[in-house]
Amino acid sequence: MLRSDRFLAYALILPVVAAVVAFVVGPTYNVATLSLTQVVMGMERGFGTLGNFKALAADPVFGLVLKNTAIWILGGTFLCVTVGLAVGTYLAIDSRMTGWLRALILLPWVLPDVVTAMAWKWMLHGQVGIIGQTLQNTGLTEDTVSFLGDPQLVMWVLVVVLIWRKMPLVALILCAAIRSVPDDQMEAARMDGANAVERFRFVTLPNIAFSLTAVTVISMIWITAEFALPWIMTGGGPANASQIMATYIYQQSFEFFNWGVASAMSVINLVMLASIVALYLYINRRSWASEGSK
Amino acid sequence: MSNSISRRRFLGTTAAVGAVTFLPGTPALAASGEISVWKFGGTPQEVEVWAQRNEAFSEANPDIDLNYSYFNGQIRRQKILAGFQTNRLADVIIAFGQDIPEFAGFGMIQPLDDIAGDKIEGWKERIVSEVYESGVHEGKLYALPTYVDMASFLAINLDAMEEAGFDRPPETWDEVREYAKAMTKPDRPGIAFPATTAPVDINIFEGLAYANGGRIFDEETGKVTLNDKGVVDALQFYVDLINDGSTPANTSLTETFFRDTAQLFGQGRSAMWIGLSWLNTPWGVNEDVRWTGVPMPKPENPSGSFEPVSAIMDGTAMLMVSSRSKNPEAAAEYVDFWSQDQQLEVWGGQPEIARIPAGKAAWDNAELKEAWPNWVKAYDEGTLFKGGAPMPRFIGVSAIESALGTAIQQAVLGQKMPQEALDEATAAAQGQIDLIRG
Amino acid sequence: MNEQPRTLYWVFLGFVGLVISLYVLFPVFWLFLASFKTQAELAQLPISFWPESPTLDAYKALFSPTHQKGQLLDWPQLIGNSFFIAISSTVIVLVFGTLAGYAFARLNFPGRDLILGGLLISRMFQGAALLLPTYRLMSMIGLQDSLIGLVLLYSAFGLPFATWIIASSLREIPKELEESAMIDGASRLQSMVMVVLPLATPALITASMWHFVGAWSEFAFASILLESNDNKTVTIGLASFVELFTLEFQYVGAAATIVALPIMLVFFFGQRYFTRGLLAGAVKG
Repeated sequence: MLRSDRFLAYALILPVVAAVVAFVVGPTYNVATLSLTQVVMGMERGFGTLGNFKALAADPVFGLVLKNTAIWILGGTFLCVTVGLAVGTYLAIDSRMTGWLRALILLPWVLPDVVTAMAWKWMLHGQVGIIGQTLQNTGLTEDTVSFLGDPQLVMWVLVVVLIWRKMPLVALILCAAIRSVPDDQMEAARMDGANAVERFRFVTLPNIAFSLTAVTVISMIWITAEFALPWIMTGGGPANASQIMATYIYQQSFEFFNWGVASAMSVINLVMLASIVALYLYINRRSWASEGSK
Repeated sequence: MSNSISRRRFLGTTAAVGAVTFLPGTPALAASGEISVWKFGGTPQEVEVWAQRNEAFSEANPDIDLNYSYFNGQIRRQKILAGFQTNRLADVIIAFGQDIPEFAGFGMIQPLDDIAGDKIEGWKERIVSEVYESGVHEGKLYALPTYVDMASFLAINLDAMEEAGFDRPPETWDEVREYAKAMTKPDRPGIAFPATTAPVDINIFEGLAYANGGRIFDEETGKVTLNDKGVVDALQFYVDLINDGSTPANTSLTETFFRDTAQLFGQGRSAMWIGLSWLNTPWGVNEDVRWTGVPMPKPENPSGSFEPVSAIMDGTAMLMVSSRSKNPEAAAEYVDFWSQDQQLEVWGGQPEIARIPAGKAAWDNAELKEAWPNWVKAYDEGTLFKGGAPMPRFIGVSAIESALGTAIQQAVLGQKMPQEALDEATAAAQGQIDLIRG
Repeated sequence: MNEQPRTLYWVFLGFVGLVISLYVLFPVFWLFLASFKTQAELAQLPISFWPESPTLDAYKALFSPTHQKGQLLDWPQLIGNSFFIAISSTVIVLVFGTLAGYAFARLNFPGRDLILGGLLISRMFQGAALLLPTYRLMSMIGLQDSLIGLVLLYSAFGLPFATWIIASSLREIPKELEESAMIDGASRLQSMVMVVLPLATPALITASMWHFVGAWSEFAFASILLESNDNKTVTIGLASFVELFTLEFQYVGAAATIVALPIMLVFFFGQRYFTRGLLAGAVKG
């Protein structure tokens, strides 16, 4: 390797690294120091305390928040990928309908989440929403179903909306991957007498395995950053049944003005997620890093 | 107590800074220069009129360069906080009365007494004294109210009431239960109340709790009092209404916020609803629904350990001046502009009928009389504000209200008894508030 | 194959397509319908499905200067601002993402994988927690109420992912092509621009569309950073219709339609490249 190449390389990546350090790492560092700072009456009072973390440990809501966050991120990611795979498989079929759908399916992704969150909240309301009304009119349910008011339902309903927003892109990626499965392999499996399910299991899946894991990480990153959907739709209610990290951090910092604790929570959140993703990247380093290149 | 000392010292410093900066202020010179103003949210009419009147201000004060920004109401606290932390807070911010203790305690806003000088006399003259008081904190005026909202009120569908055989609105909690039960039909509950996490929904409940002698926080002792009997019994009242079968399903209540409740009532889907003083006015009701609004009936025997109040009130468009304003004279001029009758009359029924106006002159408006005959009558008799108190306000109020919101939802959903839910909320909120207050 | 199962198969496929369309498109369609309703109709219960007397008032209101909701929200200007932010930051992301992507794909240097991994992980460091520190940073450098500030911020948010997609797809392009160009006397830069980039077009299109949509629909940072009316974006305009007191879904619907239309057109025509780019980039690694 030429020495000049090395300089060239650093020069080429410098703008990207600099931008990320300045606008992402900098503020993140700020949050990290704040998590170790006592904040009283909106004033920073003394660095070097674990008080914020202790307060979190003592907070009865925090346990619930962790559980809900697990549903949100893990359940959301899992469903996003599985539903995306199902829809992607469907879209991979050649027909006029799938052709149109492939273009229109991106609509949920194009609209700002502020708008889609409000629209869903409005539609889902058991009494003044179109979905609640339709369910009752068609006799599917006898009583009003309160999707966002029922603590048993709310978290999963939020996940359904989340998937609505994030799944289309996953489906398109997987659709593209499925369509690139070599025809000769498919044909060979067919000759061997494999039925559709077996062909999917033994030919398609191995071929799209990497795409699957890639969209898994991408979805997880998206879902972590998603905040407006749950905040606008439920504000963490009812009775904290849909309180997740993102909403609780927001509440602690901007409603309670308690940004020491909010920062501590952000740090926990980041460490947990970054380690999951780092682990993933490490395990799959062959496919995304240099060794994967041909 | 250590926290009150530190708070006072903190306030002292802010005031001292104010004194140093403003004592040598130039006397009686017309204000000039640049000021920025941040307004957050509001009813559509209010938002529209506010911008229009700003033009009148600029015409009247050609030397003042007014820089007005309107923001979505939902980002109020984060925007103000961000501005404060970076020393970029607008000269005038228009926020909630419930914000005052925190903003003052953090040193974000300054007492208007220090900068408005003799203008204050005019404000006192033009503004209803009880409403004026809602801008006062620790003996000083921190915010100029333009109107207030009061909690809690009851909207009644008159046809439903008469059909159930009543000839006057209910007057006690027991009567409300009785009325609600009698007015309930299979497809139309007798009463609805909002129970989401929205702050207004929590304010509506607080109106009931305060009327029952409850409080959510005792400033004297620094203790959260969510489990005071007054609050517990008020929550029991909600639960009783549900158990009577007079409301929509409990899970529906926890997803129905005040605007949805208003819609249900306005469309004849509920015979009564508990709300703030504006009730249905921002949205209207179907033409075939005859309705009236009355102050929320009171409990027969208030059970809380504090003084029962008749109503709680708060303004959500109160003008405050940043403690770091570089141009306090011009800021005071702007505040003074909004204390004039022409401006305060915006809330006198033309165009805005949804609020309780702050300006004395606004009360003479025919439009207001037409929309709210009962309110105007009570005002003329001097009873409207009698026994009223400000909505909860102290440092950490959001943390306690949020814990209260959780407890309300738990009780409404039947997950916990009111006492148990509020005991837990008290403990949780106490932890939060100790942290915030140090 | 005999005829009956074949018909059944297509009926089944049609049914599945219907279910997917219902789930994915109905909420958007519902907003679209709302844009033709009146305020009174929207408040009415039971809800009317089709607009009773379809009206274009909401669209007219958005573009008429008399209806400003007191906020002086000027929709042509909002759209212009959003386009400016989205396009400029897309260009930045594309240029610098390609340069860095080339380095990650083609050059060998110490810490390469670590840096790329670190960049990817930094994608997660966004969200509510960073609002305040970011605001502090932006006002420190004097960019808190400026479109340029948002362009820089969004670029920083978008660069890691774009770099990753571009690097992954460049790796798929055989080195030999480039090397033969260099043997023919082209410089590294020339060979990159003339030989490699054309082959990477799908990935570049993917990265740009991806970033464009993200920048176009961002709300949280825009809402806290932008102050003056001249600087506001479409998402701020949209959010102003969903205030506490207002139930103005006709405006939300109309504005959302106008906001989504240009993007959908881009997608409709770019769809082929977009999916191909996803495949080449994020998919094969």
